[in-house]
Amino acid sequence: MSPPASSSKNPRFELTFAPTVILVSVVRNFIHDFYQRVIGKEATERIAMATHELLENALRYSAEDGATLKVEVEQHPTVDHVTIRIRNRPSESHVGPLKEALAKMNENPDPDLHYLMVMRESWRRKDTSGLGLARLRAEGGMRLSLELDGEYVCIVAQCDLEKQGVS
Amino acid sequence: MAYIAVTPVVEPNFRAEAILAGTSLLARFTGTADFTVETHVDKFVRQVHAEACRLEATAVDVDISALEFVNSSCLRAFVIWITTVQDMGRRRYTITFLFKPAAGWQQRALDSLEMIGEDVVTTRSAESSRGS
Repeated sequence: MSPPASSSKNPRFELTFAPTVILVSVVRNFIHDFYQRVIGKEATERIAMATHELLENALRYSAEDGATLKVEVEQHPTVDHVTIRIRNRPSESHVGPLKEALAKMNENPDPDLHYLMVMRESWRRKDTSGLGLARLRAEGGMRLSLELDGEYVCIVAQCDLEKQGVS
Repeated sequence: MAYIAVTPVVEPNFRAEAILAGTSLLARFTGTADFTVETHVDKFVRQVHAEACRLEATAVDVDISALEFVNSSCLRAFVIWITTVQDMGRRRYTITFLFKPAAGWQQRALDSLEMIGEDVVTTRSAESSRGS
């Protein structure tokens, strides 16, 4: 049986695997190599950075050995819409802090100041949770949201990147 | 060569070392600074700071141009370092990060550090440094 034909021509990538510390960098490099052939350099770097941070987040806080990563780039004449989804089953103790981290993020309109605040708080708490997500927003220019599905969570990171050299 | 008490880090995909250059310290990073080396980066940066204080250095250069990636936890080590130097008052030294111009992600990461340490941190192309 042949797979259903996709109606989307957007360059996209989906992978389900058990993230390990070594594989996170392998996937980041693969994502970088994959997208640098189809979109601009800056967009590629942002996607690679976001992918790495989200995968490390899944690695640290997952209750099981599995995560599904989906990356899709909708290409338009002057802008690329990027959507990155990471779905996994987090440890129970992490769901609450995750929701709280995203809520705080959305309360702070300035991504850079929020990133700084999270950095300082994480040092005091000796805890790195929330750092990667704050970085996605500050450096990656990404909007973050959370989708809950039973025991599974899906962190969605999206951004719109203007194509360079296009007036 | 003057001795400095900074233990080099040698890991499969990451290295860090520091040398004394006149009255300045140069810390150089190579590879990938990720989850696997967070504690090493934290310890290394603390040692660099301790040596900078002991030697009364006026400047520390941090060459990240050979890094392929730095995760947020390793960046946090730099942030803590910067805020510690800021709290030193008159005894503070400057921290200059050297980056690779072609690596836009490095500049974006350093923009955050410059924002945090505007009175302590500067950035410079590693290529211009080598040419001088």
